[in-house]
Amino acid sequence: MNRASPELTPAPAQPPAPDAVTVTVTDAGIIAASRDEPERFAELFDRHAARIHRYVARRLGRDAAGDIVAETFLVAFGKRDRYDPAVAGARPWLFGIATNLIGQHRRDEVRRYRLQLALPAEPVEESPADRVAAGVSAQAVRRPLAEAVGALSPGDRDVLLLIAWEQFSYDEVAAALGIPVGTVRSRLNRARSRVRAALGGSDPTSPHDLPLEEHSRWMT
Amino acid sequence: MDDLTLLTELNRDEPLAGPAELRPARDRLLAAAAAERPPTGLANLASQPAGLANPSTRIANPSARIASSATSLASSADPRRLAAGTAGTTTAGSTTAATSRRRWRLTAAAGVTVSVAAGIAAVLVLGPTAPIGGKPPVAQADARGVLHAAAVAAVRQPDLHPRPNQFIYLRTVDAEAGQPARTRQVWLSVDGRRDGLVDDRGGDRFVLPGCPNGRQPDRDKQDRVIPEQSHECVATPAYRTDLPTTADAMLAWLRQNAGGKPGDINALGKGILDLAGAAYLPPRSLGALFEAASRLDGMQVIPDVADGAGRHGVGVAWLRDGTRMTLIFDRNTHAFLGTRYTYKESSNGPDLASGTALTRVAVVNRPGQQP
Repeated sequence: MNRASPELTPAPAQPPAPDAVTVTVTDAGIIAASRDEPERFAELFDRHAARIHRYVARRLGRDAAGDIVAETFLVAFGKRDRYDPAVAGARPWLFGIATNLIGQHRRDEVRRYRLQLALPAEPVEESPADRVAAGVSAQAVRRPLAEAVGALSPGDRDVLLLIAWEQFSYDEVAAALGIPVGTVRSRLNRARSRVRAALGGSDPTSPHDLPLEEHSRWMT
Repeated sequence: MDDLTLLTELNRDEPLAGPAELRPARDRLLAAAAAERPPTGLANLASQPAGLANPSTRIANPSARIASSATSLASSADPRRLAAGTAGTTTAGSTTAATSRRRWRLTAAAGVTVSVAAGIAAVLVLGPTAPIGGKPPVAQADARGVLHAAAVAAVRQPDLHPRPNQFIYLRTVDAEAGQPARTRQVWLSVDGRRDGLVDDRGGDRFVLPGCPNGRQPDRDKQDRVIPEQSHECVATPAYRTDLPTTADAMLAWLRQNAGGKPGDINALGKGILDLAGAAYLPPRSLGALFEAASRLDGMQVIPDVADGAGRHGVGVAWLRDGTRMTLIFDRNTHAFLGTRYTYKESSNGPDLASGTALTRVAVVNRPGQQP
């Protein structure tokens, strides 16, 4: 599989590669079983819902996430007979459905990024200690970053965030969004170059390594 | 750190949902599952899953969550409504009759006597300049005064009375310290039923899908409409006739729709900002909004501050964790100009600032049309 970026460690969002744990039924197995026992589809929910919820919450806010997660699984449930049993893991499929639903809230999403630009963060601020740690540089660029993400075309944003936040491979993104792998690459390239540009240059590397005054100059 | 790694940090503090939070969604799935037993003839359900019939895919954004009322919209389209396009434009922040600080005090005390606003002002209940039972700090009292004046100025503006099939045009300028300003133009459907448009920095455009008749066509990955496929939706009118028109009701509305802890000035302030800068409010509601803001504790006046387009005005600010968000009003007309957000990246670093400016509000006939 094409990993989107070799330096990213793929976070196992999700259970266990099916063949790694013998007792675990694959997603495809659950979906097949749910034809005769519809309520077994809830097992798929239990595996994936929390992660999808978080992804949606990051894009649209927590209030919207609950509804979209519910819709995602209802849509998936309704389409389960069309699921390709050869695809063991259903994560791309589910995220693709969720992405479509997110797309119906584009205005709200863009507004949310804009609001992030303009406004102090909600009370869930990191502690100073956290900020000193790895978060510092990200915190420093959060505003231009949010703006850049908000200004992306929706399709580019879908690709970028699945890769950056969910560590999807190119193949998984292609499957999730129903687009060719080549399109995934071109969208990702475009999105990343825009984000880099927004971060102030071709190489946004390590702003936190710079001295403070240098850092603030970089910021602006 | 590369850009993808930095991106992973964006909104990273969103916690993973626990079982309790996921319960409602899970229950809906189980209900759908239960409804399907015995499983017969399922295959044909795929194209129109039961889930889409549920109208709850709405966002709980403060400005978007209120039920919109098509009927009130229709009634707002009265004979005074503007003819086409450019005739109905106004410029936020441009001077109308200059209103001195002294004059607004008199006006607020005596009641608005200007004829166009007379009926409206009766609805807007102006509060006392200082809260009862104690002297507030000077800056805070001044903040109340500025917001009073903004409220009075708002209700004196003519209502653009857009028709349902028109578009609200908003032009904003955003400035991050030291960077060139960026202009964004947005065309929002007055009744929320038509496709709107966003233009970023003069050319980067995308469609804001409208919601005609409660259903929205599906779109493919290239944003093209897929024939004969649609999903349920709820229209979000840009002309907000659904909002309260009195300060009391507006305050209650803001509190009800605010996130964060009850009474959190930052959460309430966001609600105010969202309404003041991201939609078109009828003058009565805009006045009620600023009047409601004047009743909040924790606002301070900033005598001179510039918005995202560099226009100077008088500011009203609230603080949070060493950051400051300022609403900026024209010093003379008290029209809302924009915002300025001041922050530090480190405790001993310099003050940084970003600004927004609402530079044009107008009614046009179609998305993409310049006022």
